[in-house]
Amino acid sequence: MTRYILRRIGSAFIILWVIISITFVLMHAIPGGPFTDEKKIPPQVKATIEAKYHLQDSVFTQYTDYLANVITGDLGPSYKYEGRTVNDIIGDAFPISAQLGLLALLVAVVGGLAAGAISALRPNSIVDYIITFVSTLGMSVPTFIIGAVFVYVVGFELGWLPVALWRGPEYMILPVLTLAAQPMAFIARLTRSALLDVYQQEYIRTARAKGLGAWTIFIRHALGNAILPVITYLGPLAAGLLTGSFIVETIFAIPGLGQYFVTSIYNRDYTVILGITIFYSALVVALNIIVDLLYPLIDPRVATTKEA
Amino acid sequence: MSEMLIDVRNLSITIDTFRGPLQVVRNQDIVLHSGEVLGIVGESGCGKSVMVSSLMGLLPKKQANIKAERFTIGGKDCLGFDESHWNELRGTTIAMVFQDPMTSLNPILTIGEQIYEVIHRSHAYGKEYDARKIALDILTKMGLSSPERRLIQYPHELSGGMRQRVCIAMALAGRPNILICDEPTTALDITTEAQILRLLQDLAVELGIGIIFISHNLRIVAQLCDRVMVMYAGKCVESATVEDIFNNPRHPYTMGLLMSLPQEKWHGELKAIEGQPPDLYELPRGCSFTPRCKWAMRICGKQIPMISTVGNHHEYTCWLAKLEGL
Repeated sequence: MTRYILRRIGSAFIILWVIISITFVLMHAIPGGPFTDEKKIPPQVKATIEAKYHLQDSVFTQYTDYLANVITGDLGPSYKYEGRTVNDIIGDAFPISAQLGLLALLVAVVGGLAAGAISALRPNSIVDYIITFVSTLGMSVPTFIIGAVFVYVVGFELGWLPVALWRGPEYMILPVLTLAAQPMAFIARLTRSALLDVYQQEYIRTARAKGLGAWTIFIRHALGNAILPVITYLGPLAAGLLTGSFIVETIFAIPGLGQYFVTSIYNRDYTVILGITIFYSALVVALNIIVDLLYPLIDPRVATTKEA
Repeated sequence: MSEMLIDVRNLSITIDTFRGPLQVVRNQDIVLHSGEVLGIVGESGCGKSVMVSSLMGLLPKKQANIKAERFTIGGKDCLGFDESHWNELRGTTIAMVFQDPMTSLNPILTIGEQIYEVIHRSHAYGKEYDARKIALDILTKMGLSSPERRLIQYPHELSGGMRQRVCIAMALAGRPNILICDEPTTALDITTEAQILRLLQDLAVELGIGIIFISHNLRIVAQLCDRVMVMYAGKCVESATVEDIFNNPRHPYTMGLLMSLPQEKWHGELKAIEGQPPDLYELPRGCSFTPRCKWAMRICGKQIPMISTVGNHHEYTCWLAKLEGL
């Protein structure tokens, strides 16, 4: 088991190194740099700035220097936000994105499982049709439209909730719901079909033949099996919600990491682009490892190693 | 006289399908006494599984329409039972072992967990009991090696034969009076099959419970059962002791089934029954077996024959009985 985890972590580092290298090369392959501007900067000033950030070194030297810094955990200074390091930016902005993402994850999983279960327990009922209709809608309407509708209806017309910034619980409701809408719809559909499938299985008939009540059968025998595909989806989903919230952050003007990421690309802020990319990649890789380690706990048929 | 565990008279089961109502079981009696092993034999689709599922209340309430003159299980009238009444009965009075042990155990619960939940439901153990000890006893009785380890193992870690032993252990853990086995050895290899059959035989003698054993295999029935019901198209065509069925078959269908068994003396082709079982949506008039019967007479296609009785409760429904003056 320990060997398996170590091997997974080892391969994770290789993946990260490849991502860093590709991003680095791509960024430098595009013409222009952080200090190319429509306004002419005096050559003297430009040279001083470039010297300060070692931009005059060869690309390869810049690459090795950067790698050496990353290994020590230093993602370098921002070229655009003076006096701030990339570590500062991530440290300030990520907690907000994480709050948003985790809340959305919670809402998506709880809401999706509940809706899917209600749907599956009363198949082809009115409730089932409504849930299926709403979840199809939720999956096919893009996030920015859902967000816009929330902003207009709940924020503007009804005036119930604030539509921008991140200052307290009432500010969180709309962005969290917007971000959670699609995965919640997806989980609802996944849970419904998985549960319907499980209820056709023979071990459910066995459970009924034992005289167990409907509730016991649902909780003990059906749910655990039906939740497996949802767990598989949880890793990519968590990563997606934590890293992919920039549309929602833009709609609701939330000062999260997604906003910095988008701005840094406009600004050619090399170190911020690279730093956030590495951070996001590490997050995705780590979450996938966690889900893979979690899976055998729920499904005993999946053993991670022979010796485990 | 032994106790009558199942007393069902004139049972008819109609299932609503998208092609319309389908009568799967027609005017059937089922009687089971304690200490008796009743074999039910018939081709696939003859209604034997549906019939025993109705004894467990396992048919879907919405689609299945069950009618009977009497429907008594363990002394209780079960007609009009709702789900909670059935749950009282299932597992404690009547239990079932299914065909495929590979799929009839829950893959994410340990063997122990799946046995304990039956023990906890049973009233047979009183208020204070040690579920683990009871489970170990039963598993040992089922001939499973190292039962302590089995308790914490998952179904996928066990072989097919071991799983079926677990299923039987699970069914017996609630101390039922009636055990229904729906082709419990069909999914197993022949050596394992023989072991499981011996196990069931011993259990029937030792525990004195009533067993209904469904099979399409006459050989197994001959080995295991006391009394045999031969079913054809939703109806029992012949019912007798196992000796009478094999030595003195009366119904042409039973004879056909016996003839189609591979015989040691013969080296020729198997003598299968000609034709196909009838479409239950369009049953032939009269006796359902008429189109496939070698001895069919004009009356056979017109009127359903009455039950004739010979010897020791040997019952069969065939117009040939009239020729013998019965």
